[in-house]
Amino acid sequence: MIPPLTRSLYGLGLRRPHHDLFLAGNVPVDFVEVISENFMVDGGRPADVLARVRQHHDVVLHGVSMSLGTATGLDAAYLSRLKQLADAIEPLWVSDHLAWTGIDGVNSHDLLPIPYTEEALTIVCRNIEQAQAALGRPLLVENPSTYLAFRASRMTEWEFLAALVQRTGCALLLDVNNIHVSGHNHGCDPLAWLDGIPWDAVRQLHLAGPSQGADGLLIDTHDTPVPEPVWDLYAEVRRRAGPVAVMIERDDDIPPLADLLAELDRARAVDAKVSL
Amino acid sequence: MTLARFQRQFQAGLIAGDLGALADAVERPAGLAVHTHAARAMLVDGLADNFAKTLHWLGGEAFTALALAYAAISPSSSWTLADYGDDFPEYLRRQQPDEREVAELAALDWALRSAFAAADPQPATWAQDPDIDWEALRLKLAPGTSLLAFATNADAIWAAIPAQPITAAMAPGLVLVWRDRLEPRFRRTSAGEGELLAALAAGQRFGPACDASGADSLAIGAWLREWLSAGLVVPRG
Repeated sequence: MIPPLTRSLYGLGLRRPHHDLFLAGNVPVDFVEVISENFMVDGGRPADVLARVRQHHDVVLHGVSMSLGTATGLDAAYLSRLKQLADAIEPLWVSDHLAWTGIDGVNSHDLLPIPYTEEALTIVCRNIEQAQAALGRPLLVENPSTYLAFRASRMTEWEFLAALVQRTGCALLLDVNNIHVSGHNHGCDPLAWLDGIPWDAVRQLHLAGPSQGADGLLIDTHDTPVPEPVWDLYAEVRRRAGPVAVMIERDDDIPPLADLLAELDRARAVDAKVSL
Repeated sequence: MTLARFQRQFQAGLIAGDLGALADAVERPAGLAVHTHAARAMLVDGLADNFAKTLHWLGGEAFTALALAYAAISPSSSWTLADYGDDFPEYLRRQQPDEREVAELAALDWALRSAFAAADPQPATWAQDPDIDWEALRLKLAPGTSLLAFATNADAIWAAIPAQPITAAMAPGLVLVWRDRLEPRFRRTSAGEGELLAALAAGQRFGPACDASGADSLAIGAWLREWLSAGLVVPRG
């Protein structure tokens, strides 16, 4: 398990419109999160940018294609390439999602849901152990935004996540927006979700904004500011979590960096208020 | 149903654009449409990103129709969408045989994209070895370097988009794509240069390839200096 943090950290995702600002080295953040797959390259500008950003900032590697839920196991070539990157960058940690993206060599590039069954739990635990062994470091697993609830499920999402932690020693990345989105889409109480999580395993939080989809569903689009219901839920999270790494996750309609820093300041303010 | 079987069924539905067969397995089938839409949208967005000038040339509606048709028969097999569409230029060539500039634009988009994150060019220190048997030497194009055979002026179209669109025209030639430090570049090869480079890239020995090219030694020397300076060729294993 990744050791607990001694103080909370505040970071942002490294996105193309902000590369030059991060390369200048004076963005007031404790860490930068990058999408691992964008930097699993042979060379060129992506590798150059990340190496230079790393000179100024701690880095977190956040993946979208590990496919921890795939029934037939993980892609060894993917893990090998990710290990190369991790060994070069020496990140704070490596994370990916409780989801699957494809099977039999196909990648949908969508984070697909898994039924919360004992069979799936056994498979995901086996995959996490495969990843942790290949990478030589523990993994953070992120709760997904889901739009489907399977009739075959036999446990709640938080029970599933808690079992992953207990069986594999992985840590958790809690995406507060994903709790909000899934709670809305499935009519579940986010506070019940929070009450079921092993908080001593939580190392990172994501804050993001969803969009309204068809049929009343919320969609995890990361293209809007963090909305008020997510801030409210964040305050509840902070009453339960110890020191963690907090970041604003914005992937589309990227605003000026100052807007994201302002949201990060709001997170700091919530933390200060909660800790009073 | 095992998880593996369920995932294969789900994936087949995603590729076909219809997850209706899984409606009985979920509490709220409306969520299935989120994934059918997202999976297609991800692939189309990936193609739009990788083939930006082709998109501009064709227009959004025509490009999206072609991209959707391609995505329906060409699932991604890479961990990154940056690798998606390696045979999209060939698909466009088959779909638009009378508009050859479209596939050639796409080939140039792809070559530049490939050069963008290719292994960094290495100084050609190997060429300073006085014991090199140049006559027998076999070379290959360095990572990120490619040579495209064009029938049209697709390279000029690419350069003109979006500021000053030009008309497609026949203009046969060889276009060299490489990376200069961090910047992908391309240029038309000079008469004889591209043919010699193509012969070397195909595996011919340096001496016989030069002889067959008919070019004079001064020209070949100038080309070679430029190739070595830019790190475009490396010895074969």
